[in-house]
Amino acid sequence: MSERRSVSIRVPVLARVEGEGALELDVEDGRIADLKLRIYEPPRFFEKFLEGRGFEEVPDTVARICGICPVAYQMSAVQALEAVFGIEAGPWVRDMRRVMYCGEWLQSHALHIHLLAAPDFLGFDSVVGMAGAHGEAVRRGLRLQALGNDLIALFGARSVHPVGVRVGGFHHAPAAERVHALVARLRTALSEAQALVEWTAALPLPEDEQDFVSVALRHSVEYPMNEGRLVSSDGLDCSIADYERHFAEEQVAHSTALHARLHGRPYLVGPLARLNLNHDRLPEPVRAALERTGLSLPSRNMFHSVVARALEIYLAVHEALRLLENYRPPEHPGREVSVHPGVGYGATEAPRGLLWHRYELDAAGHVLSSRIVPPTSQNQGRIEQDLRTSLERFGLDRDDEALRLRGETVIRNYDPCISCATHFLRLKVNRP
Amino acid sequence: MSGAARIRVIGIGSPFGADRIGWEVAEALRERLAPDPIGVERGNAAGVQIELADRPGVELLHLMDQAREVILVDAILVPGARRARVRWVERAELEACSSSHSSHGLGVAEALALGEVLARLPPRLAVLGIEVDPDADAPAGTVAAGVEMILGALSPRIEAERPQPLVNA
Repeated sequence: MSERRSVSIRVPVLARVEGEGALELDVEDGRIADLKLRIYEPPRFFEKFLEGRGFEEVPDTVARICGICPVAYQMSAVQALEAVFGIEAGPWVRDMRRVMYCGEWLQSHALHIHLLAAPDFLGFDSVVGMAGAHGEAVRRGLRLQALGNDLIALFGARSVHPVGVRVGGFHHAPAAERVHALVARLRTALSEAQALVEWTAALPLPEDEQDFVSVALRHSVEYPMNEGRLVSSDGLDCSIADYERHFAEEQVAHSTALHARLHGRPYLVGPLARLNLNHDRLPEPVRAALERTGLSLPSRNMFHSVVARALEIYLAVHEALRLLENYRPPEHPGREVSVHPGVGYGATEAPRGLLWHRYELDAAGHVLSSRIVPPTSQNQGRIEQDLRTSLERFGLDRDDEALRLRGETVIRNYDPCISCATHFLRLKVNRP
Repeated sequence: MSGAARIRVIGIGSPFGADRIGWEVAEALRERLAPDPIGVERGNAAGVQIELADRPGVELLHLMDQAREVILVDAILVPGARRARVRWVERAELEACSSSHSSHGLGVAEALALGEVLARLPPRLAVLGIEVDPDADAPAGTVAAGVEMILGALSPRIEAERPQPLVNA
């Protein structure tokens, strides 16, 4: 029998994640003594920046929180602010916001699958190496990502930090010719998205069944994106206004991002949680593609997230095409707003999961207070829980390099969005 | 990128300090080239398209699509550099000083490496590097020197690309 060793692994800067985080793992006598996903980016204080600003400044300000999912921040914000004013933006705005959101899912998921996650599963250290052996898959991924970016820019003038969204609607409606050109590309992308689903389902994913709670929005008929009730796999079903009654955020010493808990327990948000709770809301062609993968839902294997992302890419292409096929510019791209004081809530499904906003406005429409709960802070507790289980099952007697790689693979699988910059990996191993 | 010019200059940077220098050179080049008299989309009289990109990552490949010739202009941050140095950077050197600190783990070197594997690079591609101290303003004349280097490299082909005036038969 081999001697039970003590190991201390420090991954001070995680690679291929959005932002700056680190992994610390200490193993003593063959058991995990300490494990931390350390997030050390400085706090960004956006909620404080918003105080005193006019409601009309909020959508463009919150878009700056994230370079990958700015649309999600805009959508949760306008939903909350429109709730304060008691207005419905109307069916055209509702549809086009869903199209814009489809663009964000497309570009974010395509980036994660091809540039961040798939190299792990196929044994490459980066997409550059993977592209040599899987060139056509990478080309297809880049085409899907570009299509997503162009859908965002159609409404937002640019794909990073778009500026077209406003409370009440959009600043302008896209010209029909631009939409028609994108519709042609969406038609081509349908078969590419379908092929991507099959490609991800054929990846050699680790088998790792775990017990976790899924949390997502749920809509009466649609796969959730821009609206719905809050549901969980252990029976929660509440209005988004009741989020704070069930979910609590807490500070932990090793992270500048708050940890969120549902009734005191970690939980999962994101593509696999959405799919687990909403696969009966997929449109028929996407549901058929899901059946062909053989994936049994609800899934307890977190590594199925990559297949869930591919299915959501297919869904996004399908939905954007459905909503744009008969596009005609409206008379007005939104409606005027009457300012009222009050409190409003917004919750939408960012690519990485539930994004919850709360705003309180004064009579002049200035922000008195705001609260923003992003998906990654909600997933942090679940990531740490997953790391413990995964690494123990993987085998703590494995060498440091194998443990480090498995730990990073687990973290990357969640697509954590710590901010918008990724750094080199530097590994320091301390052996007692 | 539809309606794209055959020659494209892409200034790469970020809003942070000296990292802006790639944008400043591209913008100065835009001003230097005469405005387009006949309305070539996003081009100018010389037929050169100019783009600014904020840490583009893999988006750099999309920005280069359909161009026959691309010049990338990017800062090389050299702490303590006393004078700015403007020079053409070889690909091998770019990889050696590669910084994955740009967005999403894909810096310029990695994006170009990916483009090469996927056969998506333009037929002619050059990288103009501007060595600057990250904590200091670039010395006067740095931007102008960058513009001259680009114009010098492109001048034979700018003439060939220049749109011809319409002539009635």
